[in-house]
Amino acid sequence: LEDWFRVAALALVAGVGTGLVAAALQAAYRHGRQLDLLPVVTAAAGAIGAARLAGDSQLDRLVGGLVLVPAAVLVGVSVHRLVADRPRSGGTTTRLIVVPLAVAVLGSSLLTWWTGDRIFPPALRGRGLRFRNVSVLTWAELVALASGVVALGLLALLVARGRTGLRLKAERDAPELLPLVGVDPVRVEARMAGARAAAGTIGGLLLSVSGSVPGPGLDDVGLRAGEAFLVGGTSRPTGALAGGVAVELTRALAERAREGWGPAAGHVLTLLVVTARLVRSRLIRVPEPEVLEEQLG
Amino acid sequence: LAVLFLLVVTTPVWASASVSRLVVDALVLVAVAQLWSYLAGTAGLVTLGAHGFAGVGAYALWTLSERGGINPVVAVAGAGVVALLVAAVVGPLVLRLAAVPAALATWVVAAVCTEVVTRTSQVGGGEPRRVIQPVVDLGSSRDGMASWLAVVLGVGVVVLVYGHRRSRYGLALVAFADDPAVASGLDLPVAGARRTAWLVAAAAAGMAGAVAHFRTGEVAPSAFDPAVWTYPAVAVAGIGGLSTVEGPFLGAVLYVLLHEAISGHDQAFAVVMAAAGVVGLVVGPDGWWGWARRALPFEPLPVRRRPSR
Repeated sequence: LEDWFRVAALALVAGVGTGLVAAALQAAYRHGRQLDLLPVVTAAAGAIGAARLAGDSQLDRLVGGLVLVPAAVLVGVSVHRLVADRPRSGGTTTRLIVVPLAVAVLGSSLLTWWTGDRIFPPALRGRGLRFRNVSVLTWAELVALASGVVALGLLALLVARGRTGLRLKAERDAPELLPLVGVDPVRVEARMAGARAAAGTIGGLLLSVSGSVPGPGLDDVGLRAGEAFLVGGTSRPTGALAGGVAVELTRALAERAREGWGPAAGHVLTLLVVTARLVRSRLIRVPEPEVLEEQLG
Repeated sequence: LAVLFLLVVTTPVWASASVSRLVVDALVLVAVAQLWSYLAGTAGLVTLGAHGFAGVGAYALWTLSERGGINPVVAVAGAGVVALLVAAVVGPLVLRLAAVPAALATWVVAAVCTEVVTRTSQVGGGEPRRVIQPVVDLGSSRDGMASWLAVVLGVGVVVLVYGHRRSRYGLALVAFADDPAVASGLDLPVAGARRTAWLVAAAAAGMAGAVAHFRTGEVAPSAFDPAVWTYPAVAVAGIGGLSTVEGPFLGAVLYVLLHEAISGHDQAFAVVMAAAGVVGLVVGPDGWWGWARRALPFEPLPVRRRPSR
């Protein structure tokens, strides 16, 4: 029982990390229907960078990794400045999905080149909360958990209520309005891209602290965050958080029950949730106003 | 382009073993990248799961030939059918989603395929590698057969995409990409065209995976590696663009030739090609090929229709 508690507690930390990366993906999707996978790259970079540059303990990695957050912001802003809205003559799919995907593939390739085939050992766990002589959650994990929740809250505030978020909303509703009041939309979007990259890095640190260090490829953190995005829905950051926790808990508990089947359980959960959503939306589809009017006589 | 096409088609007749290997690699990538670009550029469906179908195809080759006792050449076609069936099952899910969730869903589907296949011993999983004995038993004729299979697959996909792009289904997709509201108002067969493109892309990826492993004579979990299938398709899209038929073909050939030229530096090569892909996509929707194409006095494979006078 103690072991199950420990697994669940670690999955909770990892879930907040994954949820944070998913919330960054969600912010890009909500604003511009964009598939911004750069937070996935900064998440992997944060986790690997902390493991490579900082010490072996969880706290060392957490503190060392936080130094990388400003660098992630810089990368996010710079990349946005370079590739946003390009190619200008391209179709929507090219601009919003293919180009960001290509950028993420480039980032992931650079990260793979930097790390080589090296596998980093998990961080050493220290003292913390114990249950029947088993260390369920260390103090560093608790700090990481709190940092993740705070970061998610800040991201949500920035998107929903902050000045940047309000300007983004204004841009979405009336793009011609912002230049009239002296606001540069490109700068606002770049700031948001920086925030998303930072959120990704913090999410990666949480993943790194709570278990094995994620690999440099997109198919590790990217797949987990993508699943959290699909499970949690596209409308609220809390949904992304819930999605991240659900995916990581499923993976961890399935892995504990049957070794090697954790990732598959996460994938299956995602497909089931997406299928259920589609079926539900078909079953309780709201009729068009004209049809409704006709039905009501 | 015609000379290159002729050279490629007749490869099994004149090429040495090393050239033949290169051509097989190029044509296999042509098949995957061509349909990836077509799906993304015309059908508005970016698939992050091409590697899933390729892996399914590779393991289907092992299952059908080793366990089913089917002739390996026929099993390559069977691998395409198996991948198509998988795509048909998940298609209703993927094709109903918006572009970004659909892209992520294809990724998850590929991950499910990877996990299920590589852990199920009945279909070849559970081992670091499996020798495809019926293919190995072909002996010296294996390379020649692999070349012919690659030629049929690569050239077939190019012809198929060209035909579909010029058909009323292809035009419906182009119209939908330009203005979804108008295309829906005109009741164009967009859904059917997208479904067809999705199924054909999955079948082609499955056959590509099968042909690639037909050449090596063994399957391994690396058959599901996105760095072998999906990421190169993205880079090829940057080189050859998304809106022409010949662009991805040339991009894939260039990709394989460059890979051969700097073999042994795979990670650096991946960085260079990914950077080339990003720059190509950022400068224009037709990638690097778009620049070269504008300098040509003719359109190599014209897909535009001009109104008759």
